[in-house]
Amino acid sequence: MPNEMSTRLDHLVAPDLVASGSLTLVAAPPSAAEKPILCAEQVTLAYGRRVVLSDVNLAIRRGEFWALLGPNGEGKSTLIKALLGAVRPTRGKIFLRADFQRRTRLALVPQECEVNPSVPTTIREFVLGGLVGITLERVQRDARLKAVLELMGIAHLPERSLWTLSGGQRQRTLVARALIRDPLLLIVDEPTAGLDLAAASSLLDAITSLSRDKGITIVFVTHDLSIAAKQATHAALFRGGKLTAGPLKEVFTPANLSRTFGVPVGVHHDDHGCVHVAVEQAHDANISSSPRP
Amino acid sequence: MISEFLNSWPMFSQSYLAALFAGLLLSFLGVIVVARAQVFIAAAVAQASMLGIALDMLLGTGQPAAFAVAFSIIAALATGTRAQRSGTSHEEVTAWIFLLGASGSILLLAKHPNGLKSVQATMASSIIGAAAVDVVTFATLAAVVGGFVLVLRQRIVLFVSDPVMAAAVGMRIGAWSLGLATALGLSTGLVIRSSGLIFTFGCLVLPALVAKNLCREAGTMFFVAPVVCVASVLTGLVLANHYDFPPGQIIIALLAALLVGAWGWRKFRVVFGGV
Amino acid sequence: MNVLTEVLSPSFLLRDALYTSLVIGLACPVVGVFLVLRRMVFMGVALPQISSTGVALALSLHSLGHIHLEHGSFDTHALAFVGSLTFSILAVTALAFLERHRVAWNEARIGALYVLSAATSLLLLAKCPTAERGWLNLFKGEIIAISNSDLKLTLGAFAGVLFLLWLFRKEIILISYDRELAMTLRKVVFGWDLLLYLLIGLAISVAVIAVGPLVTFGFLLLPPLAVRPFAGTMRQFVVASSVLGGVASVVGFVLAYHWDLPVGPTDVALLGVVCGLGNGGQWLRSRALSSP
Repeated sequence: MPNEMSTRLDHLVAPDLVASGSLTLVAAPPSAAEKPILCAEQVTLAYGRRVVLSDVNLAIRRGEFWALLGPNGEGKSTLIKALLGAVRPTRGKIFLRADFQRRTRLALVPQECEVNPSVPTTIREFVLGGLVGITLERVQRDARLKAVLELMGIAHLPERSLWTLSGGQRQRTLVARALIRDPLLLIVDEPTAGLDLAAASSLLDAITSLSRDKGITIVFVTHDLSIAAKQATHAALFRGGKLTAGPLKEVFTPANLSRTFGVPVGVHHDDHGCVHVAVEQAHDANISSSPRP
Repeated sequence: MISEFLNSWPMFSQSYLAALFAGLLLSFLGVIVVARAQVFIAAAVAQASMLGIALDMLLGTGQPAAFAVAFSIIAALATGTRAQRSGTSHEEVTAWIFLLGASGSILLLAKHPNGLKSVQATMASSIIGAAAVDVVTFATLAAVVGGFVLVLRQRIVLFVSDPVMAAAVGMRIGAWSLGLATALGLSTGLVIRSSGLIFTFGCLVLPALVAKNLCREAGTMFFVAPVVCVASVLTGLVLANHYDFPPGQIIIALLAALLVGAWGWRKFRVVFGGV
Repeated sequence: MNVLTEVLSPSFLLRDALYTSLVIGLACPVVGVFLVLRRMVFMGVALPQISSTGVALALSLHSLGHIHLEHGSFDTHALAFVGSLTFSILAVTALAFLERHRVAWNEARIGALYVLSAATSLLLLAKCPTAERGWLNLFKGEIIAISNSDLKLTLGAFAGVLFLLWLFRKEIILISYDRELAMTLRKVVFGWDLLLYLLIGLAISVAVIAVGPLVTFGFLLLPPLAVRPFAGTMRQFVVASSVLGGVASVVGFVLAYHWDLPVGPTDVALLGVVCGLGNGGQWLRSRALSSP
């Protein structure tokens, strides 16, 4: 079975590893009948007696790119934590598909590097830390490390201290640590917050190419409507403790977006099927948030 | 100096071995404490175990180790969990436990004959007087804890450095916190009874701090800290034997001097090595 | 009630001890507020310990005959004060220097100094039984042996420290809250840091001489920690901490006198209970407020 498919990382690592079946399977094209990778049913999340989200229903299938959108404090990060198992729902259930139960094919890119600064660490050690729970031989491990560092453009820095890196390099290291798990589901929590335009754009390109070229399922938390409009296949909007979720074209309606963000938002679909959104301001001053498909 | 030390071995072998194994045990755990940036938790846990010993003396149960371990574990659990809900930081909880332990132990024994002397003796205790059972206990615990941290060090490093990611990859954060707090409480409670507060606190934090300044990776600290601690304990014992000083305090003074050297080395590396 | 009347009577035999306790109870929390503000809680634990190492050194040197005192002009108490003050000032200067050069993180620096000073104290006293007795009294926090000259020294030193804190409150609060803004406004941050540390060092060394390290860090930290969840403004924070410290010092004294307990640990235990109750109450309140 493993030999029938090739891995997403296989073109980056030694071919004999792939041939031996020590690396991963390739994704077959997703089908509607396929069971969701991650499924939330009637989930309610609360801190103490304060309910953050209620009646959340969500089904994430292989190959989808989900954008989680909403103002601050609406429960986006709480939902992410619940999906990761760090917060337990007070009601309802969150299911991981059987092949994801051990979480070896699941990875997280946090909003910022929340690593305890009193821990001395190099990029090499930090990225290898992502392999916790996965047993690999040394040669496989080194090959994966080399591959992800090259993919993220930091292959020349393996022995550098994490604390001497720039913000952009550090975020790339976080992505590399997630990718070394060779994930099928990648959860990304606003990775561009605090980065300058060039670093943010470069990081976004790297992440979106993972979905486009390698078929990784991505759950992407963001405030940025343009990223969602441009990249996502599905969206979830957070407002008032409720979630509106589904395919992008169904969820991205002027009414839904205006209710979520509290400002009038215009939406139109072009001939190529791309979604465009624009925040409509008073006195006909339109500021486009997504000028290109 | 060394031959004097070797001559004293038959008489003090149990104390020497107890100091070595206790230092080894504490230095493994100290790496976790230091990596979590919670140095003073060690002081608070040690002080809480003093309260346990004081309560045992007051009640006359004759089980100081059990009381010390129980109080240490409670303190480690209280300080290890982040009490953030009401805005109380871990350092505030730690300071509170430290002060309550210190004042409580004196108050409990204020009217006990020799009570305050006992508290002071535990504070100033300096290894000499360890029994065979102490040696066996510390050696067993050091082997278990050492094996555990060396085998699972990648998981431990991820847990202490980035708990959210650790949860994401399926580690049970609550269970890990509980387990590490229990190990810290158990070890501190047992060691403090025979080796004193200062030796216990010092061996927990100083070798790990030295290792942190010498190492570039957290995983390496688990090897360097025990080596630093064992070397300091041996040197300290030789010096204490020669100059007739309390060995525990000499060992801690040595480790503190090593830390200053390690700070200097780190500064040198930053300035000239660009690290 | 009889005990309270006796303690508060002007002819009370231990009134100097009571007044000193009250002065420290009122003034130490004001200094401690700045430690809590700057998240340097552990400095409040370590500095008294370091200060007491200075006492141990002075007493040991005297006991070993390295320092000779002429009777009546300079007693051992004053010698202990010099030791305490010197070590406090050296320690705060070293900490300010290490902070400026970012050598290790705060807790590591203070933790290392704390354990080193505790070990050094015991090493110094290992061969001086007489010095050890004096240090043991300090360690116990036995306030009742305080003399009138101690009271005057404590009162004078704290008056000076509080006056300077009040005079430079704006600058000190600015560098505590927002160092970058302070630098933008061309304040000499290192200089103000050093001044604050020196005032803290002076206050601690005086308090350690009078009441010992345990009571000093109890009064420094516990009142501000107890009051912080309830204080809305800086003024409320300072005043409420000071009042709580003052009240606890008197109540603790009365309780200790009544039950024949050491005064210092009684004060600290009382404050610890108040602090625990205050924070516990705040936790319950936050839970109640967060309910839907």
